[in-house]
Amino acid sequence: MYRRLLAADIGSTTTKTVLFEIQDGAWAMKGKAVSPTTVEAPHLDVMIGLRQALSKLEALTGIRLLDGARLITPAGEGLGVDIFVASSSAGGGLQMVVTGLMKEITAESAHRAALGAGAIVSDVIALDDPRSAIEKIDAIKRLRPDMVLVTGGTDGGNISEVAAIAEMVAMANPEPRFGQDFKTPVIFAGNVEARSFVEQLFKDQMELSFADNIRPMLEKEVLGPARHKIHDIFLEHVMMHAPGYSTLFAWADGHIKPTPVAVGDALRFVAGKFDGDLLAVDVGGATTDVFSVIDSEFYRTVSANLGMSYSMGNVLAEATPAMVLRWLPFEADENIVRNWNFNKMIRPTGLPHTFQELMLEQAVCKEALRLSLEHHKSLIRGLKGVRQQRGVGDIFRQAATGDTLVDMMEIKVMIGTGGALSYAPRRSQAAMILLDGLQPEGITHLYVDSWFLLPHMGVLMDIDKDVARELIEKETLIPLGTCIAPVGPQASPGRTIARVTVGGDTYDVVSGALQVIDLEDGGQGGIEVVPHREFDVGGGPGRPVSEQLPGGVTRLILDGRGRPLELPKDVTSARRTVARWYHALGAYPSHTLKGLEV
Amino acid sequence: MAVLSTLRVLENALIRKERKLPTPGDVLVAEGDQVDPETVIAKAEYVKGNPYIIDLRAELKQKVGPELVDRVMLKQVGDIVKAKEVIARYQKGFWSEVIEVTSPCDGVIEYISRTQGRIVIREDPRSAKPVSVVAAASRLGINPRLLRFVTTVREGDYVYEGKIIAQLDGQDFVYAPISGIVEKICTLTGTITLVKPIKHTKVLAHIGGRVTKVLPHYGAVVETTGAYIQGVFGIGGERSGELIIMSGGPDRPLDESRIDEHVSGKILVSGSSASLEAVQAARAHGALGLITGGMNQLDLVQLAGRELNIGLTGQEDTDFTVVILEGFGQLPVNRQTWDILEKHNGNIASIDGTTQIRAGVIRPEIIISTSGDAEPALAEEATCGLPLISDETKLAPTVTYAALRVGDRVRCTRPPYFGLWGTVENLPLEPSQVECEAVLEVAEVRLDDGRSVTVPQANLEVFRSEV
Repeated sequence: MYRRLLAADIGSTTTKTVLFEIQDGAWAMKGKAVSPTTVEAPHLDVMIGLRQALSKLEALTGIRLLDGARLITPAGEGLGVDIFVASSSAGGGLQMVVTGLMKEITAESAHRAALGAGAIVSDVIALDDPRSAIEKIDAIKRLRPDMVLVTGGTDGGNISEVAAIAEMVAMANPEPRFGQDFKTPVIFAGNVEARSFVEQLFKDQMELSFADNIRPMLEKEVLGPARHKIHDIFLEHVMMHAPGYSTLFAWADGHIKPTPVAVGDALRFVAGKFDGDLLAVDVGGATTDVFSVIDSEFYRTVSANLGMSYSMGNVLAEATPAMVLRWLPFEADENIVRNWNFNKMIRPTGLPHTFQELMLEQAVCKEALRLSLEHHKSLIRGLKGVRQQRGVGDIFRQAATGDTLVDMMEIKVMIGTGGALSYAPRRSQAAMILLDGLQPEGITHLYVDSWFLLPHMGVLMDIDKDVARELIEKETLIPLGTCIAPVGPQASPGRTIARVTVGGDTYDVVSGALQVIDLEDGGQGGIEVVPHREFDVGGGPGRPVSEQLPGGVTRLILDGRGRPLELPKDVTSARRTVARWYHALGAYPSHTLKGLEV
Repeated sequence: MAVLSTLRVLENALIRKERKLPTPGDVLVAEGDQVDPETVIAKAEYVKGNPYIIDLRAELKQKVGPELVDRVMLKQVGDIVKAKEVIARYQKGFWSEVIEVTSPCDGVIEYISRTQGRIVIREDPRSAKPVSVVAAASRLGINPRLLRFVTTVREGDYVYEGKIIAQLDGQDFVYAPISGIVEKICTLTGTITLVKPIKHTKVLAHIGGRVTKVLPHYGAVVETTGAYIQGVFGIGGERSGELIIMSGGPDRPLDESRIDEHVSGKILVSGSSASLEAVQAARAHGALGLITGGMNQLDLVQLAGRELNIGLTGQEDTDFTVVILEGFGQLPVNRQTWDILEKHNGNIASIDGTTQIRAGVIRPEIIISTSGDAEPALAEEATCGLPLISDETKLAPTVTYAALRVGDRVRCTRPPYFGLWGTVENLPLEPSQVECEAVLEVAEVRLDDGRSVTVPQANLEVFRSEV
């Protein structure tokens, strides 16, 4: 039916384009090209950057895509495309302020709803936060959000305080960032009985719409309707007023989504293929997004000051130089780490040239991931202050109120993307970053999205699920291996803590060691893991687990290093230890680890 | 694709600076006045315009809902009011007493909460009075002698506006209408007196030059001609002083043996680096600032007194300003920049270490005025054709890419050739594998030391000179 598909993601810094074509009955990537994003001054038009990227794509693939300034559709011999899809986080993405009554109840739910809809949350305002009314109003005015989410009150409950918080937003009446001739949208997703009062407050001032209450009862959180409303309004109101987006809409025939929403849609599909939860990370220059699919529910957090260029200084400050130094298999002191880090921060577009630089960069990336995952766990948690309603299905997995919902043992799939992961010269380096930064537990399948195709797939899924599925399986997710990491008490080094049988052969998982098993036949027939009685790989302490390996997996990573990962306190011993691990995984050439005990 | 250096390094430019107070005050200069960096352009002594909160529930002594608020209010949001002006009036019944609520100050009605029955009036700072006397006993309906039994504060306490300063039985409350210090709790009059601290603020010229325009109540525009140099990172705010070269060359570190009492009041210029010990010694002798090619980030943190995690500086609590010209570590100063600084050894320089690395990039800057006492007419002739540096110049685009050309003058921005200058000799069409096994677009560069090296294009900064 289709011959050629074009996808574009317009990020804050770069515009990425990818061309897919059907060849011999199967879809494949034909080429990709990148150009700087042109949403800000002096260009003020995203289409300039997009056309530049497409010109490069034409030169690379030999397929003519542009007729002057116009995209050629439909696809013909050597020219044009049948479908164009786009995702975007440019112009800073969707910036929102969310409000609620109580910081740890409705405001927190509102925060989750906005993050899940792909927004950057500039502020969370609650009636019980310590700022005065004037300070809250000033904050909203100063931030000039693209959209405000007002929540609070269970259905049939508090109205007066919900009205008070809505009143503050109405008083602030923030000016829109783009397009002075339209009103800032506000979504009310609180007590339905307060709707008429809210309508009176906002009429003539802001563009009001309603969504179902995100906390209709204290014990229930319903984020879906608010998320969809945020998404719809973002596309209709905010993006249409950003420079060049109306043309982009026309090109994409409406098939355009905010990048995090598109990624979320693709990840939900991927999670559906595995019997378990999913964790994905996107390490950007200024921020790190963490996505999870837990019990089929999608969650997203943005660690706004953890990233690999502009935010590197903050990663170093939060993690501390010592935590970065521990990953380096060469002698280095705090000055080296700090100077390197800050030089990258003030000149963010540089790339590693030497191995030492590459190791430094990847060490910082591990710490960014570790901190972002902690942040994600702290935000994605059971509803606070409520009595839990337990169903049969909840008996074996129920977080206490306020406990994180993220259970690393239940995470079956981990996906990494973002420059440091996707462009790592060796796949084993990407695997190492995920293993050390995220520390998977039990049996976890590791992937990298090397060409950052997940957002494209998330948009494509709305048009043709089959094509999207094929491209996700073949082109998007590059398998890094299946990690088997038993969890249990600290064991003396060299002790066998589990046995893994695959393809008729049995291997020991050894305490303190990392081992790679290359599978000649892709692990057909599956694996069986029998842990020592004190260790757990997902079935409970001492219980064996059998699994089929997903297609494309060609290596097992036996991780006996324990959780949480600990390194020897002595600096020289720590260096030798990490050098051994890197050598085991083939992360760096042996000559870069020379002189150490490997 | 390499990165175009957007740092401005100008031997001669027309520099225009707007010097403004944050709040209205008195302008002390006139158009045409010649000023030096320490000249006070404008000053204000004021009491910060705090918001006053009026609680209608307390004033009317009853519950207040939206309809009642609408009924009693005589003013709207945005209305300007005078002290003692009636802003709300309530009479429960025909025979009932009329209760009038008056404004406690000159100001503007900023917020009316219909749901909570509160009015916020933003005080006009020009008429703000430093004292507020709260009739607490009267508000609570108690004998003044009993006031101390119901107050929640003591003399000398600092309170924020809106804080409860007296309460009765947990039901009736008296709020602080302003932020300030509790000066007196009087059991004779039943009042609590709050005093606001007076703030003094002034804005200096910062650069030597001529006042070309007065901004009424706020400040003035000062213009000069001279050298203008931007750095990559800095700490500390505006400072001015005599430049003193303290290194043997752009690639030499700061000469610690030369640090003595002669550096007092001066701005030191170093080449490739300056150690923390040397800088602290200079500070101890009264030096005002440092301009250096490179510096260890850890040393800068020690000087700033805090981590520099998000690359936003200028508000440090420090009396010493640092402008780093090239980067962190040991980095020689750009030759063009060094020549300008050396030429102006002994002249007055104005420096500002304020930095913001993204979301509106702001660069630290160095200004060396040269226009002196030139007649205005002559000065105008001399400025024709000079590049203009204004307050917007500090702002820079986040990143500007440039397609490399053979013959481009470049500097390496990453190891192993970090800080070294060279010229592009060749641009291979195909990407190449570099040491770390990444496959990247590269350039062949002849370094100034004679070596021919291959460098990823992303690690080159291109310099294409302007005036």
